[in-house]
Amino acid sequence: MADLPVSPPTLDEQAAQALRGILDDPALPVGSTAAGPDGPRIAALREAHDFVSSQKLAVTAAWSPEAAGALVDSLARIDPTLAATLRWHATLAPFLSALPASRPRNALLGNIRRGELFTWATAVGAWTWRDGSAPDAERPLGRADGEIESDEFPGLYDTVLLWEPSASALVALPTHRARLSWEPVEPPTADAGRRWKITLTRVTIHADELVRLETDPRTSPAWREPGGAWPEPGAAWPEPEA
Amino acid sequence: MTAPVSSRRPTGQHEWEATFGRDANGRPVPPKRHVLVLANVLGRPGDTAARHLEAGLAALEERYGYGRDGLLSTVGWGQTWWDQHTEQVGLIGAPSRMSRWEDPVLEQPSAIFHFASDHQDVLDDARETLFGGGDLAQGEYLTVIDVRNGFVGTGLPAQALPSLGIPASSPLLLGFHSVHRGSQATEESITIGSGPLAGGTTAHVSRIELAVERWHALDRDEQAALLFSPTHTAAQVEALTDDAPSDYPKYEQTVAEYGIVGHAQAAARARVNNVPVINRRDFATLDEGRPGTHFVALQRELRDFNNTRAIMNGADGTDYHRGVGARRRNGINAFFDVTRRATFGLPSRAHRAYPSRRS
Repeated sequence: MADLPVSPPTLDEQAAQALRGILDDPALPVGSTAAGPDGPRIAALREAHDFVSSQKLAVTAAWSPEAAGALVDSLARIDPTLAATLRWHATLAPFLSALPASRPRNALLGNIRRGELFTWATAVGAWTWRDGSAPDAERPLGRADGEIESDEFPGLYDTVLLWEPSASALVALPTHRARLSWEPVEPPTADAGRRWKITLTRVTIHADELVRLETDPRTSPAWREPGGAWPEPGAAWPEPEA
Repeated sequence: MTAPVSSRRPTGQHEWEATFGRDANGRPVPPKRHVLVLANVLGRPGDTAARHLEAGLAALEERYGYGRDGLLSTVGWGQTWWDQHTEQVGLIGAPSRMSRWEDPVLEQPSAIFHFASDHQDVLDDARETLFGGGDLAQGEYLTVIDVRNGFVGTGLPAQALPSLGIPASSPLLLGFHSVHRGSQATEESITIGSGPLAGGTTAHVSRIELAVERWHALDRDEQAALLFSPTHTAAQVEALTDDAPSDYPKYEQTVAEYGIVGHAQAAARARVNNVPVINRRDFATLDEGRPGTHFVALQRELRDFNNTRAIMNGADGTDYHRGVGARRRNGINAFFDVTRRATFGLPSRAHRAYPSRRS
């Protein structure tokens, strides 16, 4: 991946020690997050994510599926829960890297290179474009209403990616976007644990936040569900364009 | 020291500082007691409503002198007012989340009233006059959605939370002075020159919760390092009367050497020609039993606040030392949480009542 740094920050012992310190003795927020369900756990993970993001420790995930797997493994040696919260990032970053170059795809990779952390909308319950269709080059700004789900607290991430079939595009939804809110889905399920409903009300989305694909990315040979087997080195990952 | 009280009211509602007086060390002394009243308008207030509000505000000004020993006030108007009731759509932008770790309620009340005085009974009377049941009450046109109270002044935090061991000399909950000579944007510099807010300014109002118990478990030098700069001790900081020792040109070097971001040092990088661009009117609070701060920041443009806050976050501190995180060892980031944000335009005094309304 020629457009990524040659020597990205690595999870060295000093960073690992800092992460252990955060998870052992987090600076629990005194306000909203910790007051919610599962608050102390979320707060500790959020601070750990802040550290991972600010130190750009997850940048390597975009290099290759092997690098992404190695990142998750190294995080799991520090804290398996922390590693689990980054498994979607470790899936999505190499997947995006493997897509053909385009302005939206390149912008997302740039964000990952700056330390942003991504997750996946595990369910899309509703999605409507206020103007009847997704934004495009002629009409670059669109507004969407919708309800999607995440399998972790959305505030841990910078961006939620979702598949929007009517636009045939991956939508990159920044979690800090105005008129976007989230709440826990009650009750937690035994198999999937706590899920979060993310509600969009007239949320502005730019055409450059849509990565156009021909098919649902989950049907791509390059797609790997978190927890699934990582592809063997050199396996059927499409070659990225320059 | 007795603060001056005047019958003269300046053009700008925000022009309070001439009345502050100074403490024995020459530091400005803001009013001790504050109340913020957030309100929404009812219906479409017209000339009658404007005259009624102005009459209420003028009556309070007639009743009390202008200054700490009397009453200081501002009335600000939020995005919903400007966008829904005036032709100035977009004049005031909506508040937004300003760090990766915060989830504030982004509020959009129509208006905010800020009353300040050294005397709680004056604030109580101001609130009762405008939002109680008397002739000057504004209930026909405004509905109160929140009231926030607080204090700032030497000894008040120690009295409010005696178990924490906050120094009696401190005016704020974190145990140090935050306002020194030269550490604020001047009122003149934040005054808007033209347009619907000519003679006025903008305000960003946030509710911050502070982890005071964890903070005061640190020793004073640790606090000074995180709050100001790791190159300074608590004793040095306590003796300050002039600008804080931010040494911000040495920010990178200091972070690399000490593995600590100093809050003041990081934030000072937002200055323009070493002059701050925001004027802080923050005060401590125990509202809802949660110790914290009502952070009222005045600035010529809301982006001045946004820039200051973004730089204060010290997000680049992590570039200079691997032990520094977004919150860990990074200023006071690990000790506060912004739970509410709101933005307002403060018109000049002459236009403070339902400004620029459509006819």
